[in-house]
Amino acid sequence: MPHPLTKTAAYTSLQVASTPDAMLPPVVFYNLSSLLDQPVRYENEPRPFGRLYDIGASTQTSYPLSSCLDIAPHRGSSHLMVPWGSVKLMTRKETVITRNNDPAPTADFWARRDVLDDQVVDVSGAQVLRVNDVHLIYSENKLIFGHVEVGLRGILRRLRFERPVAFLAQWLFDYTLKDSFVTWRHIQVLSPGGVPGGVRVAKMSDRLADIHPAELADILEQLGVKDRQVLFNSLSVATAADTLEEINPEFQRTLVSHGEPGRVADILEEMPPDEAADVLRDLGPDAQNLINQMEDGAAAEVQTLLSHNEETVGGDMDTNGVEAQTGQTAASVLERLRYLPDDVKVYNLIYIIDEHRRLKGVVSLRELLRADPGAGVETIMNDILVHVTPDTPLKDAAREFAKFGFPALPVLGADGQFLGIIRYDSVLSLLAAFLKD
Amino acid sequence: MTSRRWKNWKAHLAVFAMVVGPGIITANVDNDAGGIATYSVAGATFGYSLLWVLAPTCLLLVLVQEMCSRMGVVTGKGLSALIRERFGLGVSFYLMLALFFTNLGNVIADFAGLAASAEIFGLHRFWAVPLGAFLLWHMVIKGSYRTVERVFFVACVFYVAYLISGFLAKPDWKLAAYQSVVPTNSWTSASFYMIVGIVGTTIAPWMQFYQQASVVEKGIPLKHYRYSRWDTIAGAIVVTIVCYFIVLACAATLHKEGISIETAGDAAKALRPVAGNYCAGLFAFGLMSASLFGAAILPISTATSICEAMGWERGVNRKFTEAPHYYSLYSVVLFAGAAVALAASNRMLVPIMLFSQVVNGVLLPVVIFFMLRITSDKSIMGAHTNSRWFNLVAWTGASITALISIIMVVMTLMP
Repeated sequence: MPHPLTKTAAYTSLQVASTPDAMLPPVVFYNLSSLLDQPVRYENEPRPFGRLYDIGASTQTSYPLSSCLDIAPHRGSSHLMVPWGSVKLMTRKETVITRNNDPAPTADFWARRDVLDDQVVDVSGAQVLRVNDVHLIYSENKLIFGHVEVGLRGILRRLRFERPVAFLAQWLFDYTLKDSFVTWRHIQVLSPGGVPGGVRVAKMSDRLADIHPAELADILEQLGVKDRQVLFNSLSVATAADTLEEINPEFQRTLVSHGEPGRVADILEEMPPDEAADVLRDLGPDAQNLINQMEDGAAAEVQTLLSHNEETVGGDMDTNGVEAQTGQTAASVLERLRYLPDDVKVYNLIYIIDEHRRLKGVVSLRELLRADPGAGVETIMNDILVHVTPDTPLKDAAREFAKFGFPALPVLGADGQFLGIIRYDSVLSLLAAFLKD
Repeated sequence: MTSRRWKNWKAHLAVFAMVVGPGIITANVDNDAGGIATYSVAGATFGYSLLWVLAPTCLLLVLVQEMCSRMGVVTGKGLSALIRERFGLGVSFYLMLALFFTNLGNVIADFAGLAASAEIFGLHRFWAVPLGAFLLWHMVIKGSYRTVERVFFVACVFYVAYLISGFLAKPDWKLAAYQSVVPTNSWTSASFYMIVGIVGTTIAPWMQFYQQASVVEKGIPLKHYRYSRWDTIAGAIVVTIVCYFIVLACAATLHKEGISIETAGDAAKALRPVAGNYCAGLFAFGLMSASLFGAAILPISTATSICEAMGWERGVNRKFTEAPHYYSLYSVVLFAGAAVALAASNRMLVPIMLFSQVVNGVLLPVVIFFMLRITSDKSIMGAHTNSRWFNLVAWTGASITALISIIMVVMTLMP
């Protein structure tokens, strides 16, 4: 077993290499926490006039670059903003700047106000992390944001417990404290807020576009109201619709009621009508306002679903069932199947209706493919074994599903009219409630 | 006309039903074993003469808790997250360390209360305490948050036991009513100590963290905030009524007979000969449910607050492997609390309780100070910062609370 001290020495070597201040090596690593609140002085004056309060960054490059500093002067309360160009030297002990009157550029985010101790999104792991420290690379008088530190070690360092704890962990358990970094390429800073010196409105969607909606929903659920809303607003309408479907009902309610109504209406149009109806159901008076702003067709569908009781088939009915008219040929139906939009979820059952929209029979996709292309659909269709009405309780529908094993059941009106289908998964959510406890 | 008004009422009630919970649950957990002990001693020692303290205490409670639920609704973040973001890691860490110890002290008191009340019903503490601890642990680890919350909400109903035992004790209503409004007590150091104790146990630091966290968990939208405010006020009123009746029950019986007590268990035992079996039984039953209730919520609250400040995964809806820090903290507080309560004799518990009260007293002014700073910060609260008059009232109230808790610390350390 190696002597414990050798390992301890190995982990501190990084800091040893970065301490010399007089002769700076070409590349130095800093921790943000060790730079903040250090004295700042002008080039030709020996005494510092203030302390470094914050570092502003520009996100034009994939690793952000420092673009300005926020200095808290010893006298007076108003902070001084200086552009990065006036920085002569930055060390762990002091920052030296030259006097110039150039205005500081607007930052994209501020390291202390928006990152340190705040939550950021790790795009690669699709999770929300609280930042314990930021690793900065200082090279050729540029300050580059390299990693965020999210592990225990960052906490210990800032509390000044790192050395004793690392030593004890090593000595007692032969355990080396590990760093947990996330590279800045995967970091999305959230809601840079109202700061003196200002921030540009962050553009986020590009980094978040690759995250699966279910994971995005998980991220949103972990954030505060403001961050959640900003992040949600930055998503494209399609992504926002997919994400809203996955998010838990309480947060759906806040997101929808705090959002800009026009955009929310667009998002609801994009969602499957039964999901949209579920979102709107708990919303109270605002629901009508949103429905009014939706495009007519979608609004009517949602309205119908809302008028039914949630516990019956009507409330969860899918109006996007595939229909074919009696008299059509197998080939013409198949041709139409090719171009069905994405929100048609059940496409392997085709319902055959007559000119009065009365349901005559059903044919499966397999039967269509096997049939003679010229055959009329009514020659290959099967009788309807079971159907439900909008007033059928969901529980009864669940029993029918259990009995017959179809992926969907037709929903018929009073005079046998085909209204839509009830999908197997609508009932599944009802059953899932029983599984939980 | 009337039907429209009724419809409006129904709409208001529907929203209130959606929002209600955090305030009432928090306030009711506040009446845990430690609280019941304080109120019983106040009644037994000073009769009705300290009843007037309850109304101003209720007001202070509303003032402090309202800020929490407002912060929760506006920011959607817990109090410990806001403190971390606004005041940094160092402050948060030591605050959380203090919170851990004072909450642990409260959990110990709760399990001691459970032991005492179980023994009144003839169940030995070596059965009651481990059984209670495992029951609570299982409920949180295996159940979903919704079921847990529902169980707690129903548990609030058990406080009716105190109201009934207050009536059964046949208090002198006229005298009680008079002394609820007019301070007539003599200003000895003992009575002052008691007042400090009442305020100190009614407004405890864990309550701010817990209420804000549950408001966040509920995801209450901003425009429904006023209902949330009613929830807070209702909770404070309910808690005040319950402790009013505890004081009544003890004042009408124990004080009249000149019996002095030290704990809530003592009170239940002493009530039997003077107030009858039903009154004493109900009192002990109330103590048992209060102890269980407190022992269930405090470990959850501790784990949630600390994980939020440190940035660790949290939440009763996650699995053990997803949130190891959370469940470790939860289990440590719960089982350590139970173990200490079981192993320590009453004499050993006294210094532990004193320590917990001192930490409590130091922590509360600090937490309230942070809360006032955050609720006055426009960049966090937007348009929902404290108004000028609210700030005036809040700073005055907070200063009184802070002063009282500092006096409590000094008095505890130098008796």
